[in-house]
Amino acid sequence: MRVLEADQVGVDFRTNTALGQVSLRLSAGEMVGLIGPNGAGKTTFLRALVGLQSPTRGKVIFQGGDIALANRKVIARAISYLPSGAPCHWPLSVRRVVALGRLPHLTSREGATAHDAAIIDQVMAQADVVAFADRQVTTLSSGERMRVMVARALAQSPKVLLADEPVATLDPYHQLRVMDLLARLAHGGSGVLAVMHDLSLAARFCDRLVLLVDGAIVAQGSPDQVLTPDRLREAYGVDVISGKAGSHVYALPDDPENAATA
Amino acid sequence: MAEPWKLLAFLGGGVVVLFWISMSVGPATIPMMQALQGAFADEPPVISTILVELRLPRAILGVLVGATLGLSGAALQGLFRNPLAEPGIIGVSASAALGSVIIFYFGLSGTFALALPLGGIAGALLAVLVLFALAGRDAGILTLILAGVAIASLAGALTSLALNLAPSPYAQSEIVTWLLGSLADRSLSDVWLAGPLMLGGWALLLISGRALDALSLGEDTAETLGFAMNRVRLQVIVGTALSVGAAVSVTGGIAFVGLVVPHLLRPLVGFEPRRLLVASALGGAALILVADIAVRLISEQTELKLGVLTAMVGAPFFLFLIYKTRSQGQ
Repeated sequence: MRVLEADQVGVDFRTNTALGQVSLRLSAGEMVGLIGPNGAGKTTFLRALVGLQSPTRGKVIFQGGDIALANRKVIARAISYLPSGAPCHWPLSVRRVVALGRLPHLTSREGATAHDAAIIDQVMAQADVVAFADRQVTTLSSGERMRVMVARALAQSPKVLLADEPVATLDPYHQLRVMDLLARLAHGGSGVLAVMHDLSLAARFCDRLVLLVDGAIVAQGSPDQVLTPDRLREAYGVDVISGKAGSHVYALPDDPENAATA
Repeated sequence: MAEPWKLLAFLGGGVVVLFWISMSVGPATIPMMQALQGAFADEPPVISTILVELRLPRAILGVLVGATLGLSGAALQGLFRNPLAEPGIIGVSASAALGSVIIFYFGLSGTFALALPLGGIAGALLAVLVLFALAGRDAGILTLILAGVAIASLAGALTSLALNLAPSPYAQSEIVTWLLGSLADRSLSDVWLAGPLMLGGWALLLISGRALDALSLGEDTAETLGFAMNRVRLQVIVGTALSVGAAVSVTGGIAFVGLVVPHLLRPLVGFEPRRLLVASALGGAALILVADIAVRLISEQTELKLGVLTAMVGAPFFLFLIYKTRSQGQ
């Protein structure tokens, strides 16, 4: 089932084209990795998908209509957005930050109910942040903090999760933990689109990869279809050593100097 | 969660007690119960008239103005996600002061009683209009702050110009005295004019609470949590303009309450912007009442102005805050 669709979405910033005409369908139960070099338009695309960025061309289709016409609250009950860096401007407690994810579901009359509290408990357990529930989020390590932000996103009970570099700042252990969380959300029936730079990690956890270069999709498909040495050399300007270790596809960037002179 | 209610009850109780003390402090010693009973008589005695006509408006305005400054400071800090923000930052206080100064300058303050408050409110509203012309509906927080700083500078410059060109030393001293900020000699008609505007402003600020909570995670996340940020910005800015504009027009410049009160109370409400709103309103009211009682007790002949006292305490606190924020590397 299609949960979100970009139909020929293009974004211009003044004279600069950030996105050409990008089309993408995200289905329920699917984990998609969005890869591509810096400045390819990945964040702009993600922001357009959640309605934060109005497209110059084309439209994003959400629940059968243009997302630009949808009510913010309705979007928030279905789509959760995890920005890169996951800022928190006040030293709120971990539990309070996770509880913010329930805001779209609160009615103006009543505050948080027992149902909300149960969901908060559940996602905190899933993200393994219960141990520091009462600590201030600003005192956590970046790995712990990202897990809190993922819990916050999960608390929205989203049908779609759009995550911008969710594991970029994390150590290998926490990278696996967070990716596993996102994959479990997808396999529980939501659509997940995550911007990734670690190609092996993307290959391991994503059902489908989308390669975005200069505001256009140049390849999409299963990890071993997309992560070919030729495509990656063209996209990133690096040689890539790729292969399989057991069932996992890996893709290791090689020295760009070598690639340039090759 | 019993804690937040304890804090609000404590602050609310404090405001009630301080209100009572404020009513009983003054040059004339007044038996309070007797004066209150007398106030409802057909021909009220002098002590009742003093209480109702002089001290009651002073205490009510203390609560209204203090709550306005505390509440708008907390709301602006939530909007800007910066503990150094306060009503002055979007230029509303300075513009409201300018509006009132213009009324002084043209000698209109004597023509009818409400000229001064109306001038202040007009100045505050003008500041909001210019702010929106400059910063636009889609502007980020930084543009908004810079626009506010520019408006405050312009209002300050025009106030200086009015002082410079004031027709007589008497007019000059009248303007300066008013700018210092005081609750003395205000009347119930000031309460009736400025009160409803302040209450309207409060309503706009209070309904923004949840959006301010969401803003803790940044503007993009707040928007994707279901809050139309353009509308939230408008609510907070118009709410601030209405309430602070009305407050400044009645009392003159009272600085730093909006900075100090939210800062002191923030840790007590778990740093949550929404819970800080009501707490800061009560805290602001209590602080202004305390300060206004203090100026009456400290000074005998030349009354120390309320605005001077808050600035004397507030400005060093502001420096301390900047130092603390800087040493945290933020």
